[in-house]
Amino acid sequence: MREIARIGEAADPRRERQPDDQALLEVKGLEVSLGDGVKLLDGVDLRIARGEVVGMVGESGAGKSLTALSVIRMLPHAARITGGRILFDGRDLASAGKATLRQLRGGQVGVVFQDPLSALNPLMTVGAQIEEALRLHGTARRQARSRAVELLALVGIHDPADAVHDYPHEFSGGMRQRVMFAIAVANNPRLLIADEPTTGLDVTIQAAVLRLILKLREELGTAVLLITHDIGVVEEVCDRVTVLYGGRVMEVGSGKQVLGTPRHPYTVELIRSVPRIDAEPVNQLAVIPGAPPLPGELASGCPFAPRCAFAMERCDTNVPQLAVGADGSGIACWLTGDHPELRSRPIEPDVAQTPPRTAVSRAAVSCAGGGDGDPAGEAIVEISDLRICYGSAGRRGRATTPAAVDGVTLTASTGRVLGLIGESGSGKTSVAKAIVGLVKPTSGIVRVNGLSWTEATAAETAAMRHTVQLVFQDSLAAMDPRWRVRQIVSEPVRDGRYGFGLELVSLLEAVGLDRRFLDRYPDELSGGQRQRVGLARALAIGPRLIVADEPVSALDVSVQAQVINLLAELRDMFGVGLLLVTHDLAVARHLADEVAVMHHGRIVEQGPAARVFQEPREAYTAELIGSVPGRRMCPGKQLDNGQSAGQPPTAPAGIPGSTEVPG
Amino acid sequence: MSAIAAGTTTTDKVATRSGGRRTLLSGLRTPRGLAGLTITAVIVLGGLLAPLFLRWGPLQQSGDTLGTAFAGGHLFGTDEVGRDIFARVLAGIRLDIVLAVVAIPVSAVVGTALGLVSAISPRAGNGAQWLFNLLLGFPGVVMGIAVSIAVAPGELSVLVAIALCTVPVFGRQARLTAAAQISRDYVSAAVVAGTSGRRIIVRHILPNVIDSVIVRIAPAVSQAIQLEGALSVVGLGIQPPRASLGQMIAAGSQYLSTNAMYSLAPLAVLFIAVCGLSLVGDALNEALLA
Repeated sequence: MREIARIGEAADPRRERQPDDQALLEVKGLEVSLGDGVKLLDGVDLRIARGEVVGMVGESGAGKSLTALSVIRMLPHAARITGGRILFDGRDLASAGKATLRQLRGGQVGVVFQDPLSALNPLMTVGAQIEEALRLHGTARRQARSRAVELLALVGIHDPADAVHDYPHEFSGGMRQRVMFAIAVANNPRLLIADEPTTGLDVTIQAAVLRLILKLREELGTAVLLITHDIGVVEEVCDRVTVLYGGRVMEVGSGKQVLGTPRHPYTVELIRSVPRIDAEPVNQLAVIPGAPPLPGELASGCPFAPRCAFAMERCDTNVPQLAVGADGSGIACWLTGDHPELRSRPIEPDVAQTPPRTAVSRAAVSCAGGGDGDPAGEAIVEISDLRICYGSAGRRGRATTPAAVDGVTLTASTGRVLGLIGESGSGKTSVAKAIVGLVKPTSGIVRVNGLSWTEATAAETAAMRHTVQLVFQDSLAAMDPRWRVRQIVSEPVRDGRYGFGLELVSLLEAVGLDRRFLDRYPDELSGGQRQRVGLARALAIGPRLIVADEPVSALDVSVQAQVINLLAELRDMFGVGLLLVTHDLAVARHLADEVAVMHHGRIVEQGPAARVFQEPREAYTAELIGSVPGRRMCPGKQLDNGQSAGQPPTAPAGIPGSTEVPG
Repeated sequence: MSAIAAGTTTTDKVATRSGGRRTLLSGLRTPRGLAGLTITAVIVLGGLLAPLFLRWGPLQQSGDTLGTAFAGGHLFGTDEVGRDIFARVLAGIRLDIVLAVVAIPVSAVVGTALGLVSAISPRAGNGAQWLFNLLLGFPGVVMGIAVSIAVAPGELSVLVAIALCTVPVFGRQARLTAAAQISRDYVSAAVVAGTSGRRIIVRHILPNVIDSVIVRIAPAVSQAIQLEGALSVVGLGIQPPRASLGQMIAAGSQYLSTNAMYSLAPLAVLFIAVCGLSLVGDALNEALLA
């Protein structure tokens, strides 16, 4: 955070921003197809005015990145532009020659990709890499060096004169992303394309990178195309938004309008399906049934029609065209006019997916449930003063690396959700692994049902396995690629007796799948389906507590809501406790009864979820909560003043941004 | 160790390729695989079926010595005592097939077992790694010489030399693949599910390692043929009068001016066999990595 404060002090000559109505980039009817004629993009329109931040939202496969890659003409080999025009400052890039494109890339158009480590050359200093970008576009050697220092200062790197000599590995993820921004804006581009620039970064770092984008826009007058799957990010920084789905534009408009009063059924449902950190948790999130279409699966009609609650007959056959009004907003939908029922539509349980689930399982639980009338609140896992050190703790009996977990005390109970939240490296996953016995504590005790992994006999270990189960973040990696769903789910079951008195099929139904999935292999399932299989496996022997390590972070937004609802349902249905390990505060806010905030291996704050999120007592918690983007429907403004809730002492306010820059 | 805060929308889609399953065989259906398979099959069938269609046996002496190609119905002519070279080449192939069929499975099983153990237990791992390095440190011929001091030169010594030289090939492959599998989440998932260590090895790791080991068979057989040839050339391999490709290459080199085919025919067969096996091996490897 300190480095961000420095941005404001950096005395860069600020250039006047010249707002201009003429479009800098105008993409019209862009079509991209694979060699075999499968359309990946089907008539995408996109308009970016000078100095404007345009967000492009969509789920995986929607075509966000393809659109961006089309603009710089760097499509993957198999894909080709088969139609439409890409007008950049009046020139059509769709037919531009190699020399024009080379001059454009890194010159007039800067690009930042998601993975800042692989985008930097590990053998070159960051300074050399910035200079390279400069010199390719005609800056003299001597000026390039001083300009590189300026650029590092601009993106908020400490001691830029020294930092130019550093190698990428000496920088953290957030710092590397800043270097990428420095390279991207090195030649004062008129358009900056940022493809998921904050995905994979911690929220506090993400907030800083978003602030940087706004700052670059203000100081350099650069227009920005910000591609993201995170609606909060869009809400935070974008002037205008384009919503993509299935290779088509669903809705365009100002950020405020699209996110505040969306008109397209997809946008409406998408926004409703995102858990919010600033709202009281509702019982269930709105859910869009099904999953986004795969390329080539696109029907003749509207791509969203199969999942749309308002689909009419014509939706399946005729593609609605995007109709943009005078205010620059519009939707591609047959449902025109104002439809208040869109937004007020009651949230229906996910019926289509799981017809017999509730009936089957309720009955099963009532007969198998045993005597504990109110299972909630029975302590299952008790951790006291847990320390975990990795690395060379062996030979000389002394750890040389800092402890990943440093004195954690926790209790998790049945029927309740304990959210363990923290940024990467905070040690939350190590705690999760210690609970299920995958990691040995260096010191301290983990008790499951009063038993400790290190002291338990074989029979006791088996009993402990029956008590706690684990759900993995990467569901594909967590399943043997050669095993079928049938084998995977029943792996924990030794004697043919499934937990909760269920059968294999009813177990699948409990997680929203059916018998058709029994003989599938993991790679024949979608991400959401795989996570359901993972939950079925965890439930198979009837555990009292499920430890879920980032269970939804790899899922698309609309699928994520399905799994979040499922987790809540399973808790209610089976009375299992849930230890939810997550970096996503909104998910924790939505699901958890109680949260524990981890930082550097320690729990810094613990308490009822509502209390912790509304009145954080620790500075770190406040900073964490303050960093979550998109808490108010007021795009482009709140990063600067939205942190009043609790500034950590080390990070003074006064971040430069749109409000400070005369403009 | 740390949960990577990947709030990313990784591909939520159904993979079209069914990973791991049936992909190895599909490698043989590629042009490269088919070419390699055809070459190998022709040579193998020739060696195995030779007794059915040849007029002369490999040890049978006809009247004319050192006859040139086609002379007296001998396709590649005859050697210095009047034996049919074609028949002896095919007999040499047959011998190589026998050597490979006996030695390679032994070294594959031993190597895989050592590799698996070394991937699982750090202590055994160091031992196995040391053994693999030791075996790899000796060039094949040196190994063969060492073996033939202990065991009299002949089929047995060649067998042992082949097995010793190919054990580390399989062992290292198994160790590498198994180590990669062990660190994957599905093994953790099996542990959490209460699956025993032995069961995890047999049901999870071994099936996921076996393909990569199978891929190594073709190059190992190729290595075996070359080693037999090399040892026989220096006289420490198959002993006369038994026919082997290497021994014929060596013996025929004295008669290059009278009957060049004496040496060239076995050399060509050796070369073609190695090429065929390489093609098969590459095709399988490509299918494995695909």
